Amino acid sequence: MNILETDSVTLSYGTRTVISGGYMKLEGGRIHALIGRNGYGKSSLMKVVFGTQPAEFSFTRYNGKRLQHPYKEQGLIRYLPQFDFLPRSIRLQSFADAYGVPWEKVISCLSSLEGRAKQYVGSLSGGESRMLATVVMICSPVKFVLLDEPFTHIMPLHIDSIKDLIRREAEAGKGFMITDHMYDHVLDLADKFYYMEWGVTREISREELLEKDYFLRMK
Amino acid sequence: MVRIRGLFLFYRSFFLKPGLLLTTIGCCLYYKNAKYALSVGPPVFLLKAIVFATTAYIVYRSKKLYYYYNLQLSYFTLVLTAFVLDFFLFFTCLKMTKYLLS
Repeated sequence: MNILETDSVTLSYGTRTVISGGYMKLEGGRIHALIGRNGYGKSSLMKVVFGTQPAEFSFTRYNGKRLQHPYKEQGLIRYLPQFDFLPRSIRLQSFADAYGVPWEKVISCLSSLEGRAKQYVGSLSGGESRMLATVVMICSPVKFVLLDEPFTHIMPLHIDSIKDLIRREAEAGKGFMITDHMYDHVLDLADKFYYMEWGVTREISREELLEKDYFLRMK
Repeated sequence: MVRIRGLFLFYRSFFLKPGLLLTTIGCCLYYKNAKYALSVGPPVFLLKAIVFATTAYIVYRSKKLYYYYNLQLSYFTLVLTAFVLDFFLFFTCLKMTKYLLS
Protein backbone atom coordinates (compact mmCIF):
# COMPACT_ATOMS: atom_id res chain seq x y z
CA MET A 1 0.00 0.00 0.00
CA ASN A 2 1.25 3.48 -0.88
CA ILE A 3 1.79 5.86 2.03
CA LEU A 4 2.37 9.59 1.85
CA GLU A 5 3.25 11.03 5.23
CA THR A 6 3.86 14.63 6.23
CA ASP A 7 5.19 15.33 9.68
CA SER A 8 6.22 18.21 11.98
CA VAL A 9 4.66 20.94 9.85
CA THR A 10 5.28 24.43 11.22
CA LEU A 11 3.83 27.35 9.30
CA SER A 12 3.43 31.02 10.18
CA TYR A 13 2.04 34.03 8.36
CA GLY A 14 3.96 36.96 9.82
CA THR A 15 3.74 36.68 13.60
CA ARG A 16 0.72 34.37 13.50
CA THR A 17 1.54 30.68 13.75
CA VAL A 18 -1.12 28.79 11.79
CA ILE A 19 0.23 25.26 12.03
CA SER A 20 2.56 23.88 14.68
CA GLY A 21 2.92 20.15 14.74
CA GLY A 22 0.87 19.35 11.67
CA TYR A 23 0.74 15.65 10.81
CA MET A 24 -0.94 13.76 8.00
CA LYS A 25 -0.67 10.18 6.87
CA LEU A 26 -2.37 9.39 3.57
CA GLU A 27 -2.86 5.76 2.67
CA GLY A 28 -3.65 4.46 -0.80
CA GLY A 29 -7.20 3.16 -1.17
CA ARG A 30 -8.59 5.21 1.73
CA ILE A 31 -10.59 8.40 1.95
CA HIS A 32 -9.30 10.80 4.58
CA ALA A 33 -11.18 13.82 5.88
CA LEU A 34 -9.57 16.92 7.33
CA ILE A 35 -12.01 18.69 9.61
CA GLY A 36 -11.66 22.05 11.28
CA ARG A 37 -13.04 25.55 11.54
CA ASN A 38 -12.37 28.36 9.06
CA GLY A 39 -8.90 29.83 9.39
CA TYR A 40 -7.47 26.88 11.27
CA GLY A 41 -5.02 26.07 8.45
CA LYS A 42 -6.63 23.16 6.60
CA SER A 43 -5.94 24.51 3.12
CA SER A 44 -2.45 25.60 4.15
CA LEU A 45 -1.70 22.09 5.40
CA MET A 46 -2.91 20.63 2.10
CA LYS A 47 -0.63 23.01 0.20
CA VAL A 48 2.29 21.99 2.42
CA VAL A 49 1.54 18.31 1.71
CA PHE A 50 1.31 19.14 -2.02
CA GLY A 51 4.64 20.99 -1.78
CA THR A 52 3.74 24.46 -3.03
CA GLN A 53 3.43 26.20 0.34
CA PRO A 54 6.85 26.88 1.87
CA ALA A 55 6.75 26.07 5.59
CA GLU A 56 9.27 26.85 8.33
CA PHE A 57 9.60 23.12 8.68
CA SER A 58 7.97 20.07 7.15
CA PHE A 59 9.05 16.52 6.49
CA THR A 60 7.32 14.55 3.75
CA ARG A 61 7.92 10.90 2.91
CA TYR A 62 6.48 8.72 0.18
CA ASN A 63 6.87 5.02 1.01
CA GLY A 64 9.80 5.93 3.25
CA LYS A 65 11.57 8.13 0.68
CA ARG A 66 11.92 11.79 1.59
CA LEU A 67 10.38 14.28 -0.84
CA GLN A 68 11.09 18.00 -0.92
CA HIS A 69 8.31 18.91 -3.35
CA PRO A 70 5.78 16.06 -3.79
CA TYR A 71 3.98 17.83 -6.66
CA LYS A 72 7.08 17.51 -8.86
CA GLU A 73 6.97 13.71 -8.69
CA GLN A 74 5.53 12.15 -11.83
CA GLY A 75 2.17 10.46 -11.21
CA LEU A 76 2.13 10.98 -7.45
CA ILE A 77 -0.27 13.72 -6.41
CA ARG A 78 -2.88 16.20 -7.60
CA TYR A 79 -4.41 19.09 -5.68
CA LEU A 80 -7.80 20.67 -6.32
CA PRO A 81 -7.68 24.15 -4.77
CA GLN A 82 -10.87 25.74 -3.45
CA PHE A 83 -10.67 28.54 -6.04
CA ASP A 84 -10.96 28.55 -9.84
CA PHE A 85 -7.54 27.72 -11.25
CA LEU A 86 -8.22 26.75 -14.86
CA PRO A 87 -6.80 28.98 -17.61
CA ARG A 88 -9.74 30.29 -19.62
CA SER A 89 -7.97 29.91 -22.95
CA ILE A 90 -7.72 26.11 -23.07
CA ARG A 91 -10.21 23.73 -24.65
CA LEU A 92 -12.13 21.33 -22.40
CA GLN A 93 -10.68 18.21 -23.98
CA SER A 94 -7.14 19.64 -23.93
CA PHE A 95 -7.46 20.14 -20.17
CA ALA A 96 -8.59 16.53 -19.63
CA ASP A 97 -5.87 15.21 -21.96
CA ALA A 98 -3.17 17.25 -20.23
CA TYR A 99 -4.13 15.65 -16.91
CA GLY A 100 -4.19 12.16 -18.43
CA VAL A 101 -7.96 11.65 -18.26
CA PRO A 102 -9.79 10.28 -21.34
CA TRP A 103 -12.53 12.65 -22.51
CA GLU A 104 -15.00 9.72 -22.63
CA LYS A 105 -14.52 9.24 -18.88
CA VAL A 106 -15.32 12.91 -18.24
CA ILE A 107 -18.44 12.64 -20.42
CA SER A 108 -19.62 9.56 -18.52
CA CYS A 109 -19.70 11.68 -15.34
CA LEU A 110 -20.69 14.98 -16.92
CA SER A 111 -23.13 14.29 -19.75
CA SER A 112 -23.90 18.02 -20.07
CA LEU A 113 -20.44 18.47 -21.65
CA GLU A 114 -21.11 16.01 -24.46
CA GLY A 115 -20.32 17.57 -27.84
CA ARG A 116 -18.52 20.50 -26.21
CA ALA A 117 -14.98 19.10 -26.27
CA LYS A 118 -13.66 21.91 -28.49
CA GLN A 119 -15.16 24.70 -26.38
CA TYR A 120 -12.95 26.86 -24.18
CA VAL A 121 -12.97 26.72 -20.39
CA GLY A 122 -13.90 30.42 -20.41
CA SER A 123 -17.26 29.54 -21.99
CA LEU A 124 -18.33 27.41 -19.00
CA SER A 125 -20.32 28.69 -16.04
CA GLY A 126 -18.65 28.77 -12.61
CA GLY A 127 -20.38 25.56 -11.49
CA GLU A 128 -19.61 23.69 -14.72
CA SER A 129 -15.97 24.73 -14.58
CA ARG A 130 -15.73 23.59 -10.94
CA MET A 131 -17.40 20.29 -11.73
CA LEU A 132 -15.07 19.66 -14.68
CA ALA A 133 -11.98 20.44 -12.57
CA THR A 134 -13.21 18.16 -9.76
CA VAL A 135 -13.97 15.21 -12.05
CA VAL A 136 -10.66 15.50 -13.90
CA MET A 137 -8.73 15.67 -10.62
CA ILE A 138 -10.50 12.64 -9.16
CA CYS A 139 -9.94 10.57 -12.33
CA SER A 140 -6.30 11.61 -12.80
CA PRO A 141 -3.86 8.69 -13.02
CA VAL A 142 -2.04 9.52 -9.78
CA LYS A 143 -1.62 7.85 -6.39
CA PHE A 144 -3.09 10.61 -4.19
CA VAL A 145 -5.63 13.38 -4.71
CA LEU A 146 -6.14 16.32 -2.35
CA LEU A 147 -9.58 17.90 -2.67
CA ASP A 148 -10.15 21.28 -1.09
CA GLU A 149 -13.90 21.90 -0.84
CA PRO A 150 -14.94 19.63 -3.74
CA PHE A 151 -18.68 19.90 -2.94
CA THR A 152 -18.88 23.68 -2.84
CA HIS A 153 -20.60 25.40 -5.83
CA ILE A 154 -21.89 22.04 -7.09
CA MET A 155 -25.55 21.03 -7.34
CA PRO A 156 -26.78 18.12 -5.15
CA LEU A 157 -27.27 15.69 -8.05
CA HIS A 158 -23.66 16.09 -9.10
CA ILE A 159 -22.45 15.79 -5.50
CA ASP A 160 -23.80 12.23 -5.42
CA SER A 161 -22.03 11.33 -8.66
CA ILE A 162 -18.79 12.86 -7.33
CA LYS A 163 -19.09 10.78 -4.16
CA ASP A 164 -19.63 7.61 -6.22
CA LEU A 165 -16.65 8.49 -8.38
CA ILE A 166 -14.41 9.03 -5.34
CA ARG A 167 -15.51 5.68 -3.87
CA ARG A 168 -14.79 3.86 -7.14
CA GLU A 169 -11.34 5.43 -7.49
CA ALA A 170 -10.52 4.69 -3.85
CA GLU A 171 -11.46 1.04 -4.39
CA ALA A 172 -8.97 1.02 -7.27
CA GLY A 173 -6.23 2.02 -4.81
CA LYS A 174 -6.16 5.81 -4.96
CA GLY A 175 -5.78 7.78 -1.73
CA PHE A 176 -7.96 10.85 -1.12
CA MET A 177 -7.81 13.74 1.28
CA ILE A 178 -10.97 15.84 1.48
CA THR A 179 -11.75 18.98 3.38
CA ASP A 180 -15.18 20.55 3.09
CA HIS A 181 -17.74 22.25 5.32
CA MET A 182 -20.56 20.12 3.93
CA TYR A 183 -20.04 17.65 6.77
CA ASP A 184 -22.91 15.32 5.86
CA HIS A 185 -21.14 14.37 2.65
CA VAL A 186 -17.68 14.24 4.21
CA LEU A 187 -18.84 11.97 7.05
CA ASP A 188 -20.69 9.77 4.56
CA LEU A 189 -17.58 9.39 2.41
CA ALA A 190 -14.52 9.31 4.67
CA ASP A 191 -13.12 6.33 6.54
CA LYS A 192 -10.35 8.15 8.40
CA PHE A 193 -10.59 11.53 10.11
CA TYR A 194 -8.11 14.22 11.06
CA TYR A 195 -9.20 17.06 13.27
CA MET A 196 -7.39 20.39 13.17
CA GLU A 197 -7.49 22.77 16.12
CA TRP A 198 -5.12 25.48 17.32
CA GLY A 199 -2.61 24.57 14.62
CA VAL A 200 -2.36 20.94 15.66
CA THR A 201 -3.64 17.96 13.68
CA ARG A 202 -4.66 14.72 15.30
CA GLU A 203 -6.34 11.56 14.15
CA ILE A 204 -9.79 11.23 15.60
CA SER A 205 -12.50 8.59 15.57
CA ARG A 206 -15.88 9.21 13.98
CA GLU A 207 -17.61 9.01 17.39
CA GLU A 208 -15.18 11.48 18.96
CA LEU A 209 -15.67 13.84 16.03
CA LEU A 210 -19.45 13.82 16.40
CA GLU A 211 -19.03 15.04 19.99
CA LYS A 212 -17.56 18.33 18.71
CA ASP A 213 -19.99 21.21 19.11
CA TYR A 214 -20.55 21.91 15.43
CA PHE A 215 -21.42 18.26 14.76
CA LEU A 216 -24.05 17.98 17.48
CA ARG A 217 -26.93 18.46 15.03
CA MET A 218 -25.81 15.32 13.20
CA LYS A 219 -25.90 12.99 16.20
CA MET B 1 4.85 16.73 -24.41
CA VAL B 2 2.05 17.76 -22.05
CA ARG B 3 4.51 19.67 -19.88
CA ILE B 4 6.04 21.42 -22.91
CA ARG B 5 2.57 22.48 -24.00
CA GLY B 6 2.02 23.68 -20.43
CA LEU B 7 5.16 25.82 -20.62
CA PHE B 8 4.02 27.42 -23.89
CA LEU B 9 0.52 27.96 -22.50
CA PHE B 10 2.02 29.68 -19.46
CA TYR B 11 4.09 31.97 -21.67
CA ARG B 12 1.11 32.73 -23.90
CA SER B 13 -1.21 33.39 -20.95
CA PHE B 14 0.99 35.71 -18.91
CA PHE B 15 4.03 37.00 -20.83
CA LEU B 16 3.20 37.20 -24.52
CA LYS B 17 1.18 40.44 -24.49
CA PRO B 18 3.51 42.51 -22.22
CA GLY B 19 6.46 40.93 -24.04
CA LEU B 20 5.25 41.98 -27.50
CA LEU B 21 4.34 45.45 -26.27
CA LEU B 22 7.76 46.03 -24.71
CA THR B 23 9.57 44.54 -27.68
CA THR B 24 7.74 46.93 -30.03
CA ILE B 25 8.40 49.93 -27.77
CA GLY B 26 12.04 48.89 -27.28
CA CYS B 27 12.64 48.44 -31.01
CA CYS B 28 10.99 51.79 -31.82
CA LEU B 29 13.12 53.57 -29.22
CA TYR B 30 16.23 51.90 -30.55
CA TYR B 31 15.36 52.66 -34.18
CA LYS B 32 14.72 56.34 -33.50
CA ASN B 33 17.71 56.98 -31.27
CA ALA B 34 20.51 54.53 -32.12
CA LYS B 35 21.83 56.55 -35.05
CA TYR B 36 22.45 59.50 -32.67
CA ALA B 37 23.50 57.66 -29.51
CA LEU B 38 24.43 53.97 -29.36
CA SER B 39 24.11 54.08 -25.56
CA VAL B 40 20.31 53.78 -25.91
CA GLY B 41 20.72 49.96 -25.93
CA PRO B 42 21.23 49.40 -22.16
CA PRO B 43 18.23 51.57 -21.05
CA VAL B 44 15.97 49.73 -23.50
CA PHE B 45 17.22 46.41 -22.15
CA LEU B 46 16.72 47.62 -18.56
CA LEU B 47 13.14 48.69 -19.33
CA LYS B 48 12.46 45.25 -20.78
CA ALA B 49 13.99 43.52 -17.73
CA ILE B 50 11.93 45.64 -15.29
CA VAL B 51 8.67 44.83 -17.08
CA PHE B 52 9.54 41.13 -17.17
CA ALA B 53 10.32 41.11 -13.44
CA THR B 54 7.07 42.96 -12.63
CA THR B 55 5.04 40.48 -14.71
CA ALA B 56 6.82 37.55 -13.01
CA TYR B 57 5.90 39.00 -9.59
CA ILE B 58 2.23 39.47 -10.59
CA VAL B 59 2.15 35.90 -11.90
CA TYR B 60 3.60 34.64 -8.60
CA ARG B 61 0.44 35.91 -6.86
CA SER B 62 -1.85 34.31 -9.45
CA LYS B 63 -4.14 31.43 -8.48
CA LYS B 64 -3.95 30.04 -12.01
CA LEU B 65 -0.46 28.72 -11.19
CA TYR B 66 -2.08 25.61 -9.67
CA TYR B 67 -2.96 24.42 -13.17
CA TYR B 68 0.77 24.27 -13.92
CA TYR B 69 1.80 22.91 -10.50
CA ASN B 70 -0.52 19.94 -11.16
CA LEU B 71 1.48 19.29 -14.34
CA GLN B 72 4.63 18.95 -12.16
CA LEU B 73 5.92 22.35 -13.32
CA SER B 74 7.52 24.57 -10.69
CA TYR B 75 7.35 28.36 -10.67
CA PHE B 76 11.10 28.53 -11.36
CA THR B 77 10.81 26.30 -14.46
CA LEU B 78 7.84 28.29 -15.74
CA VAL B 79 9.48 31.70 -15.34
CA LEU B 80 12.84 30.51 -16.67
CA THR B 81 11.19 29.20 -19.84
CA ALA B 82 9.19 32.41 -20.21
CA PHE B 83 12.44 34.40 -19.78
CA VAL B 84 14.20 32.42 -22.52
CA LEU B 85 11.27 32.74 -24.95
CA ASP B 86 10.63 36.41 -24.16
CA PHE B 87 14.24 37.53 -24.49
CA PHE B 88 14.79 35.39 -27.58
CA LEU B 89 11.88 37.23 -29.20
CA PHE B 90 13.22 40.57 -27.95
CA PHE B 91 16.79 40.09 -29.21
CA THR B 92 15.59 38.72 -32.55
CA CYS B 93 13.48 41.84 -33.09
CA LEU B 94 16.31 44.08 -31.91
CA LYS B 95 18.72 42.41 -34.33
CA MET B 96 16.27 42.97 -37.18
CA THR B 97 15.95 46.63 -36.17
CA LYS B 98 19.76 46.97 -36.22
CA TYR B 99 19.78 45.44 -39.69
CA LEU B 100 17.23 48.00 -40.85
CA LEU B 101 19.41 50.80 -39.47
CA SER B 102 22.60 49.71 -41.26
